Amino acid sequence: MAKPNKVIALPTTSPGQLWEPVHTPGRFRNTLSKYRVYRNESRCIKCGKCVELCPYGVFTKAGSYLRRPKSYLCLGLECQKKPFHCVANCPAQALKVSVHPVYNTLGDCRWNPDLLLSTWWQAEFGNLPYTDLEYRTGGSGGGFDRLRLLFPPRRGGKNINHDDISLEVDINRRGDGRPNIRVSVPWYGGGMSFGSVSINTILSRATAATTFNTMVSTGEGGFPEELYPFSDHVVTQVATGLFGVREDTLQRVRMIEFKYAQGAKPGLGGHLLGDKVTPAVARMRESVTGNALFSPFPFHSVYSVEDHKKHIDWMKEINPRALISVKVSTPTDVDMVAVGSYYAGAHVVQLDGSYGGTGAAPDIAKKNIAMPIEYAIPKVHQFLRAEGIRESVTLVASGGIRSAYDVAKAIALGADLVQIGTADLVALECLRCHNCESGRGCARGIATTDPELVDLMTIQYGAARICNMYYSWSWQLKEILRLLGLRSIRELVGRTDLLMHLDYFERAIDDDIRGK
Amino acid sequence: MPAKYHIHVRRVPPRFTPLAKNAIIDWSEGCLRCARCVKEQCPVDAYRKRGFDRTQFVDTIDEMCRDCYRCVQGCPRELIYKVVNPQYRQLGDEYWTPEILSATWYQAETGKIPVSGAGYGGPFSGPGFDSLWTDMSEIVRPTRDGIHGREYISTSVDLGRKPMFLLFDEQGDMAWTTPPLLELPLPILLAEPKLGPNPRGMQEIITLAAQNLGTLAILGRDQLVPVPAQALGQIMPSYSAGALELEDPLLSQVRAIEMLDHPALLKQVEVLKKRYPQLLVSIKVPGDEKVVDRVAELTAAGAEIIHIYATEKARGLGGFQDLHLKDLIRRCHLRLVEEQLRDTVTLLFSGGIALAEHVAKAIICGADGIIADLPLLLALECRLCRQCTKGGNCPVEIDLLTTKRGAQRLVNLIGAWNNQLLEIMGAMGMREVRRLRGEVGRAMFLEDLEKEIFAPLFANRETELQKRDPN
Amino acid sequence: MEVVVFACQQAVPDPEALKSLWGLADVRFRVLPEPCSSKVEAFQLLRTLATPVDLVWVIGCEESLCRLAEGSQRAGGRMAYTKKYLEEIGLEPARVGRTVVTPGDQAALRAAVAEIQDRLKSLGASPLRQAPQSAARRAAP
Repeated sequence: MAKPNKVIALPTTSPGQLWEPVHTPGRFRNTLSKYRVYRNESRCIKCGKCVELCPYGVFTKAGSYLRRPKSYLCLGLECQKKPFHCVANCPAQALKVSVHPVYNTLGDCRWNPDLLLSTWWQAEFGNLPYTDLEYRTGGSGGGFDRLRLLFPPRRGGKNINHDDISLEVDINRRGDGRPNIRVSVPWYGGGMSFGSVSINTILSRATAATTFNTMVSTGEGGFPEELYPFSDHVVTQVATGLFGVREDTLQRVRMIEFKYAQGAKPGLGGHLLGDKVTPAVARMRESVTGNALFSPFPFHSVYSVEDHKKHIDWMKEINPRALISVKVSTPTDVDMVAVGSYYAGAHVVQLDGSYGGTGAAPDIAKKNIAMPIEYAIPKVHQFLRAEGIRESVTLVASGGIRSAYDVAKAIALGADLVQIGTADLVALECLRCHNCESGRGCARGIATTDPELVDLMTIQYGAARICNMYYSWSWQLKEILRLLGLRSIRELVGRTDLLMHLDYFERAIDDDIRGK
Repeated sequence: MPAKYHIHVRRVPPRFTPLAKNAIIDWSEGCLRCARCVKEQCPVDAYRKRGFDRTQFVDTIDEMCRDCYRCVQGCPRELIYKVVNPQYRQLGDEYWTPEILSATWYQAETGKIPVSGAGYGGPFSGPGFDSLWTDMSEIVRPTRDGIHGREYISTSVDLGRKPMFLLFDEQGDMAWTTPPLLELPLPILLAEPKLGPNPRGMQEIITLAAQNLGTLAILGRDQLVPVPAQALGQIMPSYSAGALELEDPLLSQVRAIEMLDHPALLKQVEVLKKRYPQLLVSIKVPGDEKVVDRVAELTAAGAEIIHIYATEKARGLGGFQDLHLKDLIRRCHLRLVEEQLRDTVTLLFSGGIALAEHVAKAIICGADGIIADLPLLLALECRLCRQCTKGGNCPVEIDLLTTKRGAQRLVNLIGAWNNQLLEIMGAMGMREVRRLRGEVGRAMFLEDLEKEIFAPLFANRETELQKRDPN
Repeated sequence: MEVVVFACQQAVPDPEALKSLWGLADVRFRVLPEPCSSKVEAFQLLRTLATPVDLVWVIGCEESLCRLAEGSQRAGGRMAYTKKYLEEIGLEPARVGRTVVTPGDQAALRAAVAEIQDRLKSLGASPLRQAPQSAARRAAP
């Protein structure tokens, strides 16, 4: 557990200054990989030829000692065609490259092994992997994973430079006199509470949000003091349990997020298991150590749009400069909910799909309740447009945004920007084991408050990994816009004509931007 | 308000180590003997606690491992791997997947709702029940909090014929006796599965579980075990076509029976009802291409309960073999709605109900209740190896299971299912399961979402794309 | 009697097919699919033998074809260790055995089954079978 008021050494960039990727290798000795380079030690004659040949740095030497091959840097089976192929050139036939036996066990349908590995790569290096890893989509077989970007046949943007492309998004579009927030990238960090994730995770995310001039939400569970230096980039959440909600925390921020529902458990309350309620968490939430905390559903004081407006008015009164975001899930009438929220005074309507979340949620809820986010975005976008209010409200999509391509697709479907959560955690080497809720929490020190486990990760590491991923995403989005011939992410909003769904199209669509 | 229905779950540990999804390969030879070995740092201490399961000859480490990969990634010689466990992948079949089996085991053991961290990781959608989502309420339609006991959600259903109107005589009394009606506290009936190494033991287990749950156990009349007197009210003997004898002593002891449909059935029911007016009769009809007409015909003729059965993999029979159970339910339900008869009769469905969500979705599609069969066997640790159908030994010795222990595992499973039903209804803001029936407005079907949202955006764009890209 | 085979899934892609080659009705023949023959550790072989089982066999891949590179070779080392250990404690080392095959080679699998049957014939029932009540159930086919 980080001590209160601990001085945090931040990466050296300040807001707006361009982040340059910092090589930040994984925290664990053997980085997971798609291919495994095996060297038969009994055959190897230590000639060092592999060290000379491999341009990717798989083999390294310390004096005459050959280190273990760094499998994750290997180009993989594709390398067979190359003149520097180590296996073919080894004089002792001591090398072998094959699919790593662990590869198939990683991840799940949405975050499949390739997407995990390529996201880890981006977090380590800040660029896209040169191997055959798929970095755009997962393997869920629908939604974002079946949508493709349609680049013009002779890809456009010859005369557009990345420096000319803007990823900025304005959050306040109501024109109600409240200050605007302009974020420099079309995403911000979703709510993950202190308690569900470690303080180091929170501070890593906050640092990255500040570096990229965007925001991060506190989630339900209070505003840890350690976050005070980042207040301008913090969105504080007011949720049904009202844990850790105090006047001074509401007044500290530029945006308040009013959480009605979350996509992982729509219509159900939150539940922080007793094990995770450590003394620090209990203090923050004004509760008792070791006692499970239930966040009820719904707000028992909100049963109508009028009640809802009353709550929003109350928050606007407490903090006259704050923007109000309303986070809802995706029921059949999500379009009506969005309109209602707008008329109640919200600046932002956030639609949360069921593919995100860190805390414990019943499997039945995640899988079955509420519609996939991919349908909800165009449904709400079109309805708001028909109502004539689309230009006055900011539409945020969340709960399942895993890659820069998901960001682009969500925006093309009609969102203004997105909120991400799990992707940040994956950058911190989460491997989607789905055990964040059990026992001491995350065994990799990300989603836990166990002091020993928290110490597995430093803020420097965490912030750099997330910044690297953000850098890579920014580059990809700019490249996507460039190839589409667009100069601003704003021009992509609602451009479903730039998307195609493979269920409706028979030909293959290549939207890879590597080496194009 | 009636007393709140509560299912008493109690942990019943498995007798056999459940198979894990992934296996650890540990090459200890070649180990460097590090001072701080990764095995000692295991957050769940699996390497020290590992044991040997002498009935299955497996290392119990795989079941303890929580997939953090710290040993895989930490060992300096890379001597530890996690790989897909073929024994797990081999479980069940393409419908009764290893995931369904292990989720069922977990619920039967603990009685708890399966909960996990992080968002949904499964496929976008799938056939049948996986192609619809249930609704939730937001802001203006209050939800219910049934699961933590703060608000009352009723899961009761009525079995029997419901008169559409009442008749009174001149004195203001009812002009006829109302037909019998049986209220069950949950919309789930239990039936014996078609396989299993010990059908008689299974009947006893199901009977005891039905007694504890307050529901009905559907048991074949031919091979029926002696049922204790206090359990007679909870069994529903099932008669094969035309096999019913009016002198059967059970008929005066039970509250409901089931009869397999046959051409002369209506006449037989009439005779039976004359003799036993308080006995409820459920008619079991195959879910084939004739089912919709037959259900309408039986209902018009005054049927009280109709049980429509599909295959074990939730498909119709005969000409309906490609039709999924959910569509079978919708067709039967909608036909009765059209004929304005839906509320008179109770429709029960069986076949391929594998998970709690299937119960809720079947009801949304139009069932009054469902009948669980195969999951009851799975709850007893069955691996669906089907050795019992080939005369082989049961690898998990279901035949040696005591009735009490088995029944508690069934109670646990159904307890977990019922809680999940409460979760789904709570999220929708539904107060009772009776109102969920046929409420397709509170569900979202994949084909509708595609038609309303994606098709207008993506269908028929070939020509436009031709223009962009002539090749 | 009972024979337990730990079968690498690469070497024996279809465990049911292997079972169908067995044919001895009075001997229970169990095939346990394993991700690699090196999944099976020496203690597992010994404890399986002590269950008691009359013969324990491992079928893996040719060492050069192992999908995990060194797996099959390690399985060989374990087998040697197990045999030595059995000898030291005064039991028959022949009650454990190993065959390596080229993945997909049916003839080799048939030969392996024949070898297992021959071995079982020459060894007979395990001397560890002393508790008849527990053995009775398992001995049934």
